[in-house]
Amino acid sequence: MSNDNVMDRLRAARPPAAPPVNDHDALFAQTVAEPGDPRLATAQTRPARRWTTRPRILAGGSVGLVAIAAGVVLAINGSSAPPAFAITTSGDGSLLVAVYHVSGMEAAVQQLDAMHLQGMLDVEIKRGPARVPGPIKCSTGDQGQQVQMLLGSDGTDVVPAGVRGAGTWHLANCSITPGNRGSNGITLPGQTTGTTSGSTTGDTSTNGAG
Amino acid sequence: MESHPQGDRSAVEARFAEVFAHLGFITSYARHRGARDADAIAGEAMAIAWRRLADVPVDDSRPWLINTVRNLLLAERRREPATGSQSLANLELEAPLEPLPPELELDPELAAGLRALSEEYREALLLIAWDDLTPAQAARSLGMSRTAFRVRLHRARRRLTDELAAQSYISPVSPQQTNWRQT
Repeated sequence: MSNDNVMDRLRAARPPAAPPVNDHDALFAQTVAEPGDPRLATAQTRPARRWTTRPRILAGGSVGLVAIAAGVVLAINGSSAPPAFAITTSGDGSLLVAVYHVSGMEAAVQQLDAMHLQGMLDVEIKRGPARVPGPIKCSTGDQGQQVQMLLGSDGTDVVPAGVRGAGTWHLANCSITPGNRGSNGITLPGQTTGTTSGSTTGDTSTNGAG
Repeated sequence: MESHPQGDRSAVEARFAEVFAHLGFITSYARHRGARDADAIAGEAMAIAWRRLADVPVDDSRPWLINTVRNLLLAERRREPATGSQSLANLELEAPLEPLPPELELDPELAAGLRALSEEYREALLLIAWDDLTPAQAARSLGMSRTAFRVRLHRARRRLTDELAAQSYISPVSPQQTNWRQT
């Protein structure tokens, strides 16, 4: 086979192009618009494709989690499985994300994503115990929603030997990069049966099964 | 990006619209190179292009965009586990990025040949064959001279030819062999 034939074969095997972007204009507006730009409101009424929001866990020396954050609705999970995490919202809108085990981190982030909170949450997990017990505050670049994260009961999760992810883990860092927020910074999704959200009288929680 | 007076801003947005027209192109590029979330990578590249619009070449922004997407993909891969045996990899986390994602459903022989190439060679071939860049554009996207790129492309073609020949040779029963045996 000649070199040219190789290129022809390679061209013939070219995968199909990405499907056309339906919300092209909305995405353009989200990229270029400044706060207050009326195009943002238009863009948000469309079924926008999210840009940097798919929750993911990246393993390595550290673990990065990316999620879009947003409002809070609280469905008590009816599953009999032990909860992997709990997300508690206070009357002032701040969130406490308690992840009982490191293996539940992904589910917690997915739940945050499902809440349509806006902003990008980065969580770094490292080996070893937490230097300071308790939740860590996720730093924010503006006066956005306050979020705290807690791993385990006191900031450290010990996975026993013989179990996946065996070892001691702690949250090393948590930060939120502001994204395209709604007008009030928090979107409160519709009510879920038997639950309330944004309560001014007390805390509400979302529990996730492990 | 800094604020612009209204008139200037319109012009800047019009300029950016030309760059943004390549969104689908870079989404495909990211997808074909194994991005976990090609849409997100492409969107991030466009956000970078908007912030650094002055750096984006006016005549043809595709090489610049590809370079940006490639850097984002590399950053994504750097956050992957070095080996599959690390403890965190046991937490059912996502698998390491694969340069040629299986969902592309390539001819197995061709896929094996491409995987056998170095990243440099594979990228040189794919920029031309899949992304329809000219050698000059591909060279710009890689930050190298045209001459150097042509040399790399030539070597890559030759290497892939060899790989495919080897694949064909070791293939236990090729269709042609089957036909020959039947007749």
